Amino acid sequence: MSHFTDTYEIRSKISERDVHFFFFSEGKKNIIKVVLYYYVLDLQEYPLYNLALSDYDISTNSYHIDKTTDNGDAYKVFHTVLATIPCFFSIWQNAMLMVQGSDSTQEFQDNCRLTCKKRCPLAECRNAHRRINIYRNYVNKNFDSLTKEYIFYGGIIDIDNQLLKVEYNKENNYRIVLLKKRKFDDHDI
Amino acid sequence: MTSKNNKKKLTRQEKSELLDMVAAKFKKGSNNSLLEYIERQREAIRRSISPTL
Repeated sequence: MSHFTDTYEIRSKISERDVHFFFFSEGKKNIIKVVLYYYVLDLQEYPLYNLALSDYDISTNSYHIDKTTDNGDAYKVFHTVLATIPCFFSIWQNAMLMVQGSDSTQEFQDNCRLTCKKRCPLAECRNAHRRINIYRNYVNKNFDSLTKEYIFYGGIIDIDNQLLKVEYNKENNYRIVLLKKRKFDDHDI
Repeated sequence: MTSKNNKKKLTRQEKSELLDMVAAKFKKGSNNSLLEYIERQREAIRRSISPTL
């Protein structure tokens, strides 16, 4: 995840237990982006972190989390976000990182139906899950090389609305992906 | 200096200074809406975590 050449210059900021990376997206507009790694809780032997991406509007000092900006540089932004992952793990080597898309929530789908012209069946919004699919496709395409450095898990929400961690299977359409840095004595899972 | 509505070619130095400024603002805690969002998400994830995760 650190091999990309088409990335933006980043600044890092450690704020208590959270880690933030800032970069400048130069597409149709100039947009300051913030990659947020925020601490959630301790899970057994590792701290769990969640990943989020936000726009920052300097003129209003406001943040717009997980906003779709359509700035024409999506791949460069995506590669820059991916490039922050090794930086994050260099700071929190023992962390478990959770990646999920804000468009995978029920709230997103409910809001989408209010304005969307697609006539999706009630059980499935065709605009949902796009973000996690981009991450998952990247993991699936590069799984062999990535698993030399990281251990991946699929996140499944069970019938009690509880998150379960399972062995990662490329065939499954996980809505949540978890990963941690592989240690010298880690086995395959 | 710049905003989403301004498309001005910035120099490397200007971009660098801008990132430094944003990072410094973050340090001062002047981003309450973001911190509130993070806290809400943090709590939502905590509630959904299975004890066996």
